[in-house]
Amino acid sequence: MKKIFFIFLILLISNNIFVFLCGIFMQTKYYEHFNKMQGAYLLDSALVLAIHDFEDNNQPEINKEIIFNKKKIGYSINKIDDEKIYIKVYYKQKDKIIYREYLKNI
Amino acid sequence: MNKRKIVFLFTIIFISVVLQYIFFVFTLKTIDLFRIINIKDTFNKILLLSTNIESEIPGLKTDDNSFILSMPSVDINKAFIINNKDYIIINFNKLNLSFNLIPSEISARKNKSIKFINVKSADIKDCGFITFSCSINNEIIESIFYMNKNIYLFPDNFKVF
Repeated sequence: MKKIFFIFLILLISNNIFVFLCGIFMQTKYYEHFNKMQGAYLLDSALVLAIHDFEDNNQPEINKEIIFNKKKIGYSINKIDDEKIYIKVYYKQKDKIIYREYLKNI
Repeated sequence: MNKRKIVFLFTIIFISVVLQYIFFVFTLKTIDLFRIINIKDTFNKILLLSTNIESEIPGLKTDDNSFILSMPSVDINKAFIINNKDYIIINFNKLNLSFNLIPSEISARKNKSIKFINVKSADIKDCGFITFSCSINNEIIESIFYMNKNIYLFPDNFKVF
């Protein structure tokens, strides 16, 4: 009887450890998704700001860095010809720069 | 073992088992949520790369269960071939949601398909903006996207297809 109870207790403990590890895995995955979503939101915002900036100022080259929602985001615009502009939007995450590049018809 | 000890141990085990059961249910729900977010992410990435919504392509017409997007083809250097299009057919059929890429003849992209199984429902509609809803078991996600038709996102930034 004691032996069976001991085995049951071991199973319970190992299951608890497994549940704990699962929790850590879930939390890590959640942060990954959260960072991705936040990054996409920052880049989308930077793109809108860049397009508005180009439409307002119409300069062939624009480089700007701003603080948006406590994060550093930036964009650079280069006019390729009379029909197209090249836009690069980015944000800084620790030491990495996450960016997207676009080609836009004027 | 006296009676008090047995009751104490039984209570501890009971609480532990109940907590584990709750966690198990919670984990299953979270897995569904992650799956649904993954589907939305894939759709969002495809939409960002796309430049047009097509009502029909040779051999296929959109219906309630399908949606067609087009994106400019790319060459080996991932430069745009503006006058050529690659098509993405999004199809929902019998609990399967699939994203199929059909590249043009000169495109560097390859024929590829991404499939999600056990999807309860999926619905994409173009009403000036794009509404996307999808459900897996009891988890539902509903989103609204806007498509920038004059903006081409460089495919280097995204790895969907």
